[in-house]
Amino acid sequence: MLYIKNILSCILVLPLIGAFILSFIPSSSRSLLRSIALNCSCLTFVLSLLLWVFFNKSVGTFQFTENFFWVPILNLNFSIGIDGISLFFILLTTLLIPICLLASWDTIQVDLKKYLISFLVMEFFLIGVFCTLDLLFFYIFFESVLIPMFLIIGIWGSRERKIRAAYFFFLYTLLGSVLMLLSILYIYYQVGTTDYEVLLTFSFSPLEQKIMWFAFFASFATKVPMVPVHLWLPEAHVEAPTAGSVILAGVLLKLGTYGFIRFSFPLFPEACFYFAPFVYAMSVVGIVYTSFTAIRQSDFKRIIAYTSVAHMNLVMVGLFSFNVIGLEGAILQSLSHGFVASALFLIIGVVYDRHHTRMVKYYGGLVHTMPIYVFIFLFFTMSNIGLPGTGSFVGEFLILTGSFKANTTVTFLSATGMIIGGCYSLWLFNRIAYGNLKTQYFKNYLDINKREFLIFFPLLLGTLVMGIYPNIFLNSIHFSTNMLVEFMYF
Amino acid sequence: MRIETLLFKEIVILPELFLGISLVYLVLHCTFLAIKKNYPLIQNSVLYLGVLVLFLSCFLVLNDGLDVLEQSVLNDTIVNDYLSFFSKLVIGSLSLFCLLMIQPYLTSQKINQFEYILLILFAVLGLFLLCSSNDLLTAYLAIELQSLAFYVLASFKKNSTHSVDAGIKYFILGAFSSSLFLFGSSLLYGVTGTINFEEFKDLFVNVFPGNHDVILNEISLFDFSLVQFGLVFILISLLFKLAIAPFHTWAPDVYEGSPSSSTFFFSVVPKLAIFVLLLRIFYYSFFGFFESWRYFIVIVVVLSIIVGSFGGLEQRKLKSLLVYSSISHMGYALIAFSAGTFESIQMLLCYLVVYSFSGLCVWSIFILTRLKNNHLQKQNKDLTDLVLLGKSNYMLAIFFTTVLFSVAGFPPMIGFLVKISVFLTAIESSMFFVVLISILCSVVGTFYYIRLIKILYFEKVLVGKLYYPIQVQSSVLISLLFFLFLFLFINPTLLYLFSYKISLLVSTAV
Amino acid sequence: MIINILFYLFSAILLLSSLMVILVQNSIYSILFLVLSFISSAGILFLLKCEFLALMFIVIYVGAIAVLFLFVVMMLDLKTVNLKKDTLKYFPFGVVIGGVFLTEILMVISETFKANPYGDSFLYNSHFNWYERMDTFTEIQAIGQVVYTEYVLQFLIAGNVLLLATIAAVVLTINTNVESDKKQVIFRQLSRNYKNVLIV
Repeated sequence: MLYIKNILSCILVLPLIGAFILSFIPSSSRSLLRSIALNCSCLTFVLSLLLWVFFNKSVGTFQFTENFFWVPILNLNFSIGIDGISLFFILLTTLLIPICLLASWDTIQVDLKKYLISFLVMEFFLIGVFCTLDLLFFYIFFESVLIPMFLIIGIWGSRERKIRAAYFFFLYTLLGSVLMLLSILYIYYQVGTTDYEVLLTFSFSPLEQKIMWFAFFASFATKVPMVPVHLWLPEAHVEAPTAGSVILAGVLLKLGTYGFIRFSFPLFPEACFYFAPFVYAMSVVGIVYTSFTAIRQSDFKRIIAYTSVAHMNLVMVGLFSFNVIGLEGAILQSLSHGFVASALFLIIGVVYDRHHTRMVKYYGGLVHTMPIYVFIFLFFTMSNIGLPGTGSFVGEFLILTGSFKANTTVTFLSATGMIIGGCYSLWLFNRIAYGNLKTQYFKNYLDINKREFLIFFPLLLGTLVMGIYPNIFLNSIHFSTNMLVEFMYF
Repeated sequence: MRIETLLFKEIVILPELFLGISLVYLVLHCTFLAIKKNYPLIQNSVLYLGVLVLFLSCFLVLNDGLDVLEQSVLNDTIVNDYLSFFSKLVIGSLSLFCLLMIQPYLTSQKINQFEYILLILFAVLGLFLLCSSNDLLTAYLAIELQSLAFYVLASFKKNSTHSVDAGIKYFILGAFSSSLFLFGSSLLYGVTGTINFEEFKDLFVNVFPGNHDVILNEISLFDFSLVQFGLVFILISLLFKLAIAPFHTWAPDVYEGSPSSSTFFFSVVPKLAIFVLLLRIFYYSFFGFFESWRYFIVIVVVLSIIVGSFGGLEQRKLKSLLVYSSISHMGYALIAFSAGTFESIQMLLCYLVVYSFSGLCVWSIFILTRLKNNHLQKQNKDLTDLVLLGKSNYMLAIFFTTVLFSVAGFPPMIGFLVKISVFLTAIESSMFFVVLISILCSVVGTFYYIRLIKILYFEKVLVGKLYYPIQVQSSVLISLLFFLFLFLFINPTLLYLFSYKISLLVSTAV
Repeated sequence: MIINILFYLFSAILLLSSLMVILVQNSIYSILFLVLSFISSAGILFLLKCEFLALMFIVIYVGAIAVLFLFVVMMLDLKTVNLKKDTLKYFPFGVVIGGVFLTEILMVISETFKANPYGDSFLYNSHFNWYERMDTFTEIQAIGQVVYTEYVLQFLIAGNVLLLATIAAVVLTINTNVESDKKQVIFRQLSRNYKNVLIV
């Protein structure tokens, strides 16, 4: 079989090459633009599948590593590599981007070329975040993701409050991240380099650890998002176009938890143990509060946005339980949330394309006219609740088991929060799918076409596989998480 | 790259000599040409002649490149070391770009007097002399030469009250700060008996930071407080010229009122030269007195960054916005200046070069876009005049966005890299609180840059403002700048290498 | 002794006349006080044995600059404004700031330039080289020997500054449109009466 040594840098650079090629094509030939973008992103996905195939499951170190020189004087170099944890995030990214491009096939009328270029550039930055092994570059890519997202929300969002949403999104995240920048500079000053593998061998004093952990927390907490700083999420999700919401919910929210796993845990273990009760408290408040809030919403997308907050806070509970079960549950729940939340946003997008409104009160009785759509909707609603047989159940179960070992009260409260999740999800589904058709608002109904079905199919399959046989995914993560937990307790 | 016949090793100031003599020639040439044919419009040809002269003087600077580390001539009043070489090159090339960019502006604004170009060249001559000056007298004369040219450039449009107003304000404040400089240097001469930077360094060699016995001792042989007194005056006068808070109040009015090409020149070119002078005085000669003015500079830094970030939030005109952004940028540069380590000089120079370069890019975009339906006859752009530039001039909007993100110090651009270098040096000197405040204020400042991008792309109006198309030569230059800009992030090694070499030279006392 | 008295006299005249420059109402009076301050500073320079510089002061400052000011004031039809309007509001603040400043600089100067502590001790080795103290140069020769050899570049730069000033003056005032120049009306100028200059 083919084994390319530099496959990771190929995956990294391919979207950028695609964007570059796209910039030369005149913006009037829409089909050519779309097909080139789609081909490029599908090629990236296929290459990343190759990454999975050739991944060595019995080793816990970084594989496919490469090193590039950037500024040798200042000892800043760019090294990339993956291990079990980042592998699946990269796969998630490269899977979701073609789906997003497919989802916006007909809906984007103006400035299609800029749209496609922003998505491809964002894919480059996202893959860069997940595969970089250098703290400074992590920060650079982490922040650079904001630029294309800002443009996407602002230019192609729905018209009402998009500018405000774009500002919220940008400035909230930036404010949190600058503290992280200071910590990175301090680390660079102390250690002399920002290379991850060197940083792992360095240990900081407890006071330094606590302060720097808090700075990193400020940055990642706005991305997760945790409760006091979650205000950007409903705004950004509601105002973004469909594909923007998909990528936001699917990948961008995982940046926070990935940052925690990759950087906070190994570099500041004592501070993590010290602050664990604080994180638990905030996560539990997040789960319960957002679940209750979601019940009251009247905007379809806002409900799903609040469920995203709740699920990601559950992931945080799982992360800070500091045992292998909780950690693997957290990673799996992140992945399945990536599938499920993206699918839910796509579901909204289908209906929004037809009727151009997101208010729940205008929809009813869709099962009569759009049965396949309702089937898909039912499946993803059930996985949102955490029905056994879907990936969310596995994730939640593992998380609750892991955190049960750490703290039973927290487990009890978060499980209660998850039950409330069932409440609003079922109610939402009920209102939209069953009942009578509201013909006084809409006259024409159209079921989903082949393109839209093809969008949902991989997500459906992924969730199902993750629910029935999660070992496919967990096999690769075992070693890395084991090493991580060992390292923390060491 | 050395042309042997043009090498006059004994005359270290050959570029300045060439510039001065060609200026005199140009004055005569243009005057006679103008008088003979009853004041025709010779603006364009004079501009290209000026470009030629500048190019040749930059070439002479390059040609006279250094075989030895340092060469001082003319009774030690002029020094030609790596710092002067580097800064002269940067200033020369920046002015070259400036001159080429302002040509369509001058034609459209009907600035018909040919002396405009000559005044710019005089200012460049003053800046060249400032970069290689080795004593206070030469520095003062060079500052005067440059400032006088700037005063007139600010008030060039005689029939506009804004312009004349700006010129008068600039003149009064500039003369005031020059007199402060003179007072400080006379005090220094009174105490030490010399005005040469080398001799200052040699005189105060037993004074170093932390050596409180010598400075504060009651029974010491020599009381240094008058030296510190004089240094404070010099410092304040140079901070005045850089438009740093709390000495910044003249800057928005002056920059707003002057014709845009003059503002272009003011905000891009002289800052590097004044920082070179600051480096020479405070890091080379008087490094021992570092402790006495360090806290003062830290306070000034924090004030500048706060003023620059919060002041720009309220602005509705593009020029004032850029003024406030330059105030905050000077604050960041001063953070590196106040750190006092070896790397801080290196990062300061990198920051200044990148700041000048990105300032060049932003201002060239500003100057090259000319409104078509200018029935209000206004000469400065409001913010809303940029509306929907993303639709009318696609590539220019992309360039503007890129440069704005770099100016804001946002990741994948070179501005981010130099900004974190500056913060790195501050963290190395344990100035944590300063860094915290300045980085939080930088987030506040990012808001008005994003607002510009929002206006470029997001607005809901159906029709944007129409602009005249940009000439071919200017668009070639702008594309060149854009590519250089993108390249700087991928490979900033050259920048760091040069600044490393320079800081090795300057920091003999650090 | 007498040099001290003369120094104090000239300094007092200098301070007082420079204060009067900004306090009087009439522009001509203020320019004349300016001339007086120039002359007293020239007197101080005479006392410091810089006769060339003192005469240069008089020639350039009084002869060129003050005369230029007088010409401008003569040509402009100035009405005097009430200068005393805001003085009382800003007076205490200015006195405080100026007083603080003055105290500081006096303290610093007195600390720095103390008398030589070793002057009276018997261990102080004072050897005067009388040959070096013979002064056969006049001041002009001394200035010329330094300025034209060691500081020749600065001299040239100063010349450049003057060139720039000339160009600047021409640029700011030239009007190439010959017809719309304002000219002097000699009749009006000569018929000005001192009685209708001051508006009290």
